[in-house]
Amino acid sequence: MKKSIALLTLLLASATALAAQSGSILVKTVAEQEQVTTGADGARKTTLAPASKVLPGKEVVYTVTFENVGHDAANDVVVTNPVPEHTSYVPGSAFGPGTDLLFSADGGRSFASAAALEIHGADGSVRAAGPEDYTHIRFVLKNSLTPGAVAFARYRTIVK
Amino acid sequence: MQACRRGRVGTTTTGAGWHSGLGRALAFALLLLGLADGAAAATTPAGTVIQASAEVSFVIGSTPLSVRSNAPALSVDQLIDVAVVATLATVPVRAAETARSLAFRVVNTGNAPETVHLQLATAVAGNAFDAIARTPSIFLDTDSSNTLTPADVAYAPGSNDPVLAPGASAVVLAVVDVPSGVANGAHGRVEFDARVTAGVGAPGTVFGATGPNGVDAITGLSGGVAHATSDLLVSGVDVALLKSATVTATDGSSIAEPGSRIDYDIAVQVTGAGLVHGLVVSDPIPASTRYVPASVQIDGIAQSDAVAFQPAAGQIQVSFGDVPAGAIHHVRFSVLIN
Repeated sequence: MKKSIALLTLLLASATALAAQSGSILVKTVAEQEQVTTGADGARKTTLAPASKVLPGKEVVYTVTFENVGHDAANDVVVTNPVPEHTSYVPGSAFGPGTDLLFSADGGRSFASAAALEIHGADGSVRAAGPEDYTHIRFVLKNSLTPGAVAFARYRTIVK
Repeated sequence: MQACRRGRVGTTTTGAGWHSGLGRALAFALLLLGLADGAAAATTPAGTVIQASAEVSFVIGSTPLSVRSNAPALSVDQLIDVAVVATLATVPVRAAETARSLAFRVVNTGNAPETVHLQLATAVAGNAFDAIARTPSIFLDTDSSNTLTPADVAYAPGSNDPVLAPGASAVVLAVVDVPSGVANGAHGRVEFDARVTAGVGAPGTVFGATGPNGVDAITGLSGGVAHATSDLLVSGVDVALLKSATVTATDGSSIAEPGSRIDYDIAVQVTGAGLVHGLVVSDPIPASTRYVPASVQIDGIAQSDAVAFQPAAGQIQVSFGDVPAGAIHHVRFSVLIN
C-alpha cells in the first residue's frame, strides 16, 4: 500500500511538469515480475517486484497507469499496447477496470474482441486467432476520464 | 501344390550390419533417428532488450490527441542449459567387438552460444560388464554419419570442445571395445556427459555479468550438465526365413496355370540371445508372375503398397526395426501367374 501511494505521488509530481506538452493525459508503463518469498512462519507470499532482467519462459507483468492531469474531461480514451517482440501474451491476463478489451493479430491494423478475432491467410483461409497470435492489446475506456482521475490496465507476457 | 523350403529362397534380409557363418546375423544398422534440429531455436537470445510502451489516444472537446508512455527495458539473461540424447538406447554388440561407436546428440537448450565439454564413463555400476574405452574415446561426428568414419575428428578436451549456437546440436561418438568372454544377453552401460563451460551449478545458480552484452548467466533445469546412457546388449542372433507357397487356380483347384494365384508366407524367426537391429526382409516377385496389389501383410495386418511394394525393384520389402530374440513374424503376399 505504501508503495502505491509513493508511486502516485511520483506520478503527480511529474505530471505537472509534462502536462503542458503531452496533452492532458499522463501515461506510465511499469514492468514487474512476481517474486515468491517464504516468510519466517513458512508462509509463501507472492509479490510484484520491479524487473530489469528476465529469462526465457518467465512472465512479465506490465501495468499501465493513465491519469487526466488536465482541466477537461478526456473522452474516447483508448490505451494500445504492442506485445513486445520476443514475448507472447499470457492468455486471460489482460485486466482493466471499466474498460473493454480488444486484441489485434495483424500488427495493430484491426482490432476485435478475443472471441471475434480472426487470422486471414494469404491464401484466403480464415481461422480464429489465439493468444500466441496477438500483436496488440487494447483497452477502451467505457466512460470519460474526468480531470484528476487515474485509471490503470494490466497484462502479462511470457518471454519466448 | 505346396512348396516349402528352408533358407533364403531368393529372399534376403538386410539391415543386419554383418553376418558370420551359417546365417548367424548380428544386426546393427544405425537407423538415423532424425531428431529435429532447432527445436529451441525460437528462444530469445541472451542479451536481447525487450521494451514495451503504451499509446493512449483520447479526445478533449473535439480535438483528438495521443500520448505515449515510457518504455521500460528488460534485458534477457543468459540461460545455461544442455541436453544429451543417446541415438540408440540399446545397442546390439558382440563379445570382443572392437571400436564400436555409440552416437550421442548434444543439444544447446539455452539461449546463448555454449562451449561444451564431453566425457565418457564406462565403469557404470549395476550391469554385467564394463565396456573398454578406446584411446581416444570420443570423436566428433564431422560427417553426421552417426558412426565412426575416417572423416571424424578425435575430441581433445579443452582444444576442440564443440561450440553450439542456441538450439543447435552436434552428434558425438563414444568409441569402445567389448570385452571378450561376455555372455549373450549380458548388458553393459556407458554414460556420456556434456558439461557447459560457461558454468555448472544447481538450477538457478547465477554467474554475474558473464553473458552476452554483460547480462547475467543463470543455470536452467539441467544445471549446465547433462547425461545419457547407452545400453550395450551382447547379442548372438540367428535370423531364419521359412518360405512356403499355396497355389489356387481360378477353378478352385491347386493347378499352377495362367491366372492362378500364389500366396506366399515367409516365417521370420529370430533365435539366440539379444536383439537384431533394423531387420529388413525383401523378396523378389518371381518371373512370369505379377504382384497382387495390397496383398502384403505382416502378422495378418495389411501393409500399404507405398511402403511394402517396390515396383521398380520388382520386390516386396518390409521393415521390422528392432526384433528381440525369440520373436516370430509372418510376411505374406500374393502373385498371379501370367
